Amino acid sequence: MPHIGLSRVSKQFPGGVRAVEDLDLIIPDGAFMCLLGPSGCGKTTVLRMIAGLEQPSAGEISVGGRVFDSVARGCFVPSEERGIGLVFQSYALWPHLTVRENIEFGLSVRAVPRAERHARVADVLRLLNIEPVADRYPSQISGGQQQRVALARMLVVSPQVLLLDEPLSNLDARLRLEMRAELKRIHQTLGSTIVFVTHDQLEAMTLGTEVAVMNAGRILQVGTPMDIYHRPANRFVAEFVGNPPINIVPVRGAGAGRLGASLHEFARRRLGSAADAAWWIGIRPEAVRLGGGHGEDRWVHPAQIETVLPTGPTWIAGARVLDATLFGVSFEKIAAGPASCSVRAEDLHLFAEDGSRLEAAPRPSEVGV
Amino acid sequence: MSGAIAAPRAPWRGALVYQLQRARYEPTVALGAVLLVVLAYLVVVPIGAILSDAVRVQPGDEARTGQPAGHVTAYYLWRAFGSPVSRLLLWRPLLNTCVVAIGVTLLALILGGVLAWLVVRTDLPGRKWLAPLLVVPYMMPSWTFALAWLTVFKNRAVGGPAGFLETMGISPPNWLAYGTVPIVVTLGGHYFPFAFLLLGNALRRFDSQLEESASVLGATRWTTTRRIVVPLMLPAVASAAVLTASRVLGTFGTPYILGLPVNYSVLSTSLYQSLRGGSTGVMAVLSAVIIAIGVAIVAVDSWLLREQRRFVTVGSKGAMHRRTRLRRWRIPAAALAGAAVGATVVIPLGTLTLSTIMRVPGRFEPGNFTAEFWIASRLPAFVGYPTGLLRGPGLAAAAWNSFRIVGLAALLSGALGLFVGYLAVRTQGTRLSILLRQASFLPYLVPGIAFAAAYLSLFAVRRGPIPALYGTLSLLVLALTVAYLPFASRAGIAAMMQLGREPEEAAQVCGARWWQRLWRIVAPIQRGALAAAMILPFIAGLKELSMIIMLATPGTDVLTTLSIRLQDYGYPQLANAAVLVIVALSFVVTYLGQRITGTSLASGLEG
Repeated sequence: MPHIGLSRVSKQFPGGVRAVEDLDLIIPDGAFMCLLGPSGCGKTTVLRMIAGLEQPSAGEISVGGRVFDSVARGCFVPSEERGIGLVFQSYALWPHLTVRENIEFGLSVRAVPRAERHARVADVLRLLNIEPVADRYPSQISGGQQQRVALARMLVVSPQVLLLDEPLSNLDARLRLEMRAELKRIHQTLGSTIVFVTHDQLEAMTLGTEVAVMNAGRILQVGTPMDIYHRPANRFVAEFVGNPPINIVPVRGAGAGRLGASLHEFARRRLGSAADAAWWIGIRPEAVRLGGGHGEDRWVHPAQIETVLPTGPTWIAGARVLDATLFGVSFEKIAAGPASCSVRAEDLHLFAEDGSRLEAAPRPSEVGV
Repeated sequence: MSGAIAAPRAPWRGALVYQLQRARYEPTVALGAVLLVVLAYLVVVPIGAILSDAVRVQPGDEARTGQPAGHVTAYYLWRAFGSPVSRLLLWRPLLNTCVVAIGVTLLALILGGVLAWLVVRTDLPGRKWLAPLLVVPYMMPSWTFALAWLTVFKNRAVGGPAGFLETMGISPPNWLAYGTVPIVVTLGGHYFPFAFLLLGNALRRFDSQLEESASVLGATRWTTTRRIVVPLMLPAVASAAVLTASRVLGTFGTPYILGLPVNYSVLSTSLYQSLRGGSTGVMAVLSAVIIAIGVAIVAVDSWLLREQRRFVTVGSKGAMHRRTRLRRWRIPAAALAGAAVGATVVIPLGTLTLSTIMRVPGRFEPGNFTAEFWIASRLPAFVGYPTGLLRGPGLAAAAWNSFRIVGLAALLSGALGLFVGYLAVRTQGTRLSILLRQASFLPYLVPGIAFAAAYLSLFAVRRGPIPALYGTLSLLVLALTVAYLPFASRAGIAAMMQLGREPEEAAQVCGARWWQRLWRIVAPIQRGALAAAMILPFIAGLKELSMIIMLATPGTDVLTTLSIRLQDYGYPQLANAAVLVIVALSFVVTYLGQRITGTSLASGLEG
């Protein structure tokens, strides 16, 4: 069935911009894969290459065992024969066709008989709750409805793979939440493979069965959302995923200060030889405990809470510890003033000089999630 | 099937096969390459042909040069630059062209600049309706004003009906009736809308906070103007100057009408006379000179535009546009603006209209008015056109030719322009895309009259599969199509850029093949853009004189050449009536065009 395989794929645009470098990725059948990364990291290019709208400069792309692109072997299947759906960030609805005609287009170019065409269009109109606007033009319906039409237009041809390019980024917060739920429902009903591109880590974490974090044309880590969050493969992933972002304390080199020295000394004592090679220690804000907390397995230090930012359900606090500031987040109210700051040894993420993770931090199963 | 697993090939062969497979489904690159070759042939080759004509013995000149036809010779260069007649052929016309170009440019800048400032940056009463009125002169044929001038100021130096002033007993001196002064004034009145639009747009973008910041820092008003406003406006001023000068370089009607009576010639009229005199070699040299000046002018412009990038003002979003209060100057300023409209629109059109309904020009008596020049079934004194203008078969034939030739050229130009836009946007980022844009822009560098000369020298004889086209309507259509391609392809590129690639890509992933996407998605969405890309060339073509007069045989009249011919015959009433017909058509088409495309065509006039 349609698992997607990218093997040693590179893409260089005319003008010399290298968008994707030597990328390997396998997306299993039925997965909801989120490609997550900052803008310009090459994630949309990957999506467009799978769809056949962009051609790799090198490498091989296959879906369900069928080779779509292979530069070395001279294989190419054009986009219109790939049987892949793609929902654009801008929706790209055709302004001169009604909603119904937009949806019907894919069937009519495939010469599907009229009766079947109408039945299938009616089905997706119902699936996506857009029957009432079926005879309007795209400019006459709301953004959320346009989004659904764009989706319906691709679903109607029952693609084996559905690609979504930041489809929710133009919606307001409420609609976004609804559409996320809708996408999850569609994924479960249809069971097709979905690749979803986003720069919004919350979207990736909540929707994906798997997440691939990309930066500068490379994949940095592929794994389940929990994996990505709790065992980031390197500093970039650790910093990109998580809000408020992780505290990164330099413990060696020019940036290291007294807080770094103290943490490093504790890490070496508790985590053994792996900590020797650490250049940075990362601590998620929710692991920073302000007030209370003792014990052998904890690093404890007096702190001065300087800023408190209530978000509603949580409080984010900036605490001065020695010569640096650590940010903590808590569901309990935090007040400014002196407090004791503590972190458990297993909550320390160690990163080597090149930014890669040093495997001495506790397994994710041991962390209270 | 191409998707089947194939045996590994040598890497370069694999990549080649891969690209070929792609090209089968995505013909844009191949089509772009073909189009580029066609454009090169239609644009670059004619220019090459005329440059080569300048240094080769032309048929018929064997005896004079003592060399066989086609041989390389410096004879024409010598004749134009060094011989005793060179003063007449090149040097005086060149000097006159420079004087006229500089004079017109200065006049247009001052007039356009002052009016732009009044309309955009002051509380001038009536500025809303003034803006569209001030563009009207450009919608009339360039020599309309010249005919009107002659109607009033003509003196006894030439035959035919007298001028208004002459009838009233005032005999205008030659310098006022013909030559430099009236040419500069009438062309200035025709071309100032360029300066008005360009400077107006620049002033509109100009953030008045920039001036205010300077004032807050303690600068006097004069210092602010000198140190802030002038440097920031300089690029727009330069662009307007360059555009006006290059248009004046190629203009033909006005210097022909106002210069001929006193043997005053500029490069374009000298070029025309070389053609009529059968000296194609000299014509080629003159064309080369015009092209060289045209290219130099545009080169200066693009250099200035590069300079302009240094001046991109920051934060246009929050730009403030505070209008200067004119206070007690409001009425005089309004009078000035009204006078500009009056002098460039109302008076010329009024004079022309009057001249067509008066038996004796300039005698304002009830019995002197007549409609015979329009509708009489017989005008015995007018042998060349023996009926009222509207009655004669000549007008209908010329109008039909105009519509046929210009309509076809506009249709082709618009379609080609949109296709250039499509291919340039689809191959965006590649060298092909850049070359397509450049090739379609190239005719812009060549003043129309020289471009027409180039077409004559390329297509006058049979070349390869292309038959000799001289004297055919095809040649006119082809030349006009290519000459207006820069406007059409600019509109096409803009429309395609705005549409973007995604609607077509969406159709592609839905399973539509290339021609299905083009036919069912791109073409229907771009209907409006296509109309816009056609209407602008159509309006320009209706008024076109310099190219058509070069390429049309005397037997083939269009409206513009009919008017000039009637003027040549000494029937100014009929010539003026013909120009009024062109003006009316131009207004109607512009109005319809704006209704259809929903845009202001004035915005498309900018170079």
